[in-house]
Amino acid sequence: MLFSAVLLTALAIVLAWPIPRLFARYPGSRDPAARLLLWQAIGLAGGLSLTSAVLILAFMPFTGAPGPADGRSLSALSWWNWLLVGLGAALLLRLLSSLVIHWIRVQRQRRRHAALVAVLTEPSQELPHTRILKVDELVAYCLPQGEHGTTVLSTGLIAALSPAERDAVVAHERAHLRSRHELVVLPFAAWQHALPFLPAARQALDQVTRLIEVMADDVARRAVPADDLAAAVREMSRLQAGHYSRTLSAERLARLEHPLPQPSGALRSAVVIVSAALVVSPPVVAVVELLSV
Amino acid sequence: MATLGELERSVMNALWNSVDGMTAADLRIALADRDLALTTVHTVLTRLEKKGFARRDRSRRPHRYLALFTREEHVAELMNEVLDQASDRQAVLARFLGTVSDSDTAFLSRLLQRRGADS
Repeated sequence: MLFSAVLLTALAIVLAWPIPRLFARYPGSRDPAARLLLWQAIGLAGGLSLTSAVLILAFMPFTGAPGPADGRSLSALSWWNWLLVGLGAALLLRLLSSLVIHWIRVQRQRRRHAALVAVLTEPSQELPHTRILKVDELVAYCLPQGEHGTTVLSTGLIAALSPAERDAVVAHERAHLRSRHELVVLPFAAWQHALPFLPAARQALDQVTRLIEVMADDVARRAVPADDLAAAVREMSRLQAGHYSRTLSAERLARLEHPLPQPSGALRSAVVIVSAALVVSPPVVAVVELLSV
Repeated sequence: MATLGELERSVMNALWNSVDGMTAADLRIALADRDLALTTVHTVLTRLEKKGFARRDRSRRPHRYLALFTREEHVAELMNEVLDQASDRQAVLARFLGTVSDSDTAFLSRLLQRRGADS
């Protein structure tokens, strides 16, 4: 039916522009995991609703009309039906293939970087799955490669931070690896790359990148004192102002300097219900409409 | 028993320290404490060639191996991927080394081009 197709298209438009913009403008971080789930739902539902709308439109003349179903056949579809079917299929294919292509590109870059790390760094004597790079800059990052992943620290960082602060940084990086944040970021990075003209894709990627930093802090402070991590963030932000976002550092510090806020069960349930509804509705509507053909 | 990765690093360090490149036999001597077979050295050198770290000079016999880029250039390549200078946001993204733009992966090819222009 035309009505449901229009509704789904409206949903896709709302999910593509005003909602992400609103969501990004009020970046509360009391429950980062819940916000992440919502972003994932917005992204997925946006693609699904647009694809469903196109598919419904593609079969529109066949819905709601009375008469024996076997009287109609696929050959009776006019050329613009096929065009819309093609468009819907192409859209779905584009969204899925961009994931695969991005994944392949990422893997290739990581393999290359792992080769650089292997040749330029030395294994740490004290810390497992950690390698040391001899540069003065403060460098601390994780490379999601292999079974355990690798954390890379620079001699500059080790010199600038106290041992406790260094341990906190390592805990933060290991949190990224254990939580598989590279997989969380992947679809957002892939779709931003595939849809560079869509501001919402960039907003979503920015926000999710921000959220995983906060989430890594939350996980890290189970293993190390929050104060040490806060001190490390402060030092790194101070000594390398160009490379670290001031607003992100400020946000992380604000969260680290207080006890971890307890996530609200009611809010979480609401987020789960809304996310599930967003993601499930478009395909359900599409299936219902297409079954009535 | 050193891993292949450690051997590659040792070989590259030797190449970076050499002036005119080294033969496989030279390298075997340089890494004498590891007691490597010549075939092992050849394997490591072939891998380094394939990964774009070393190149083989076939103009003399026995073949000499040289580092393709200096250590500093490779460090710059690594840092470029980790600390994307474009914006603060990119600096955070680059840590996952999958979201850097394609311009950064062309870092070394730009270096090569510049070298070709200088020579």
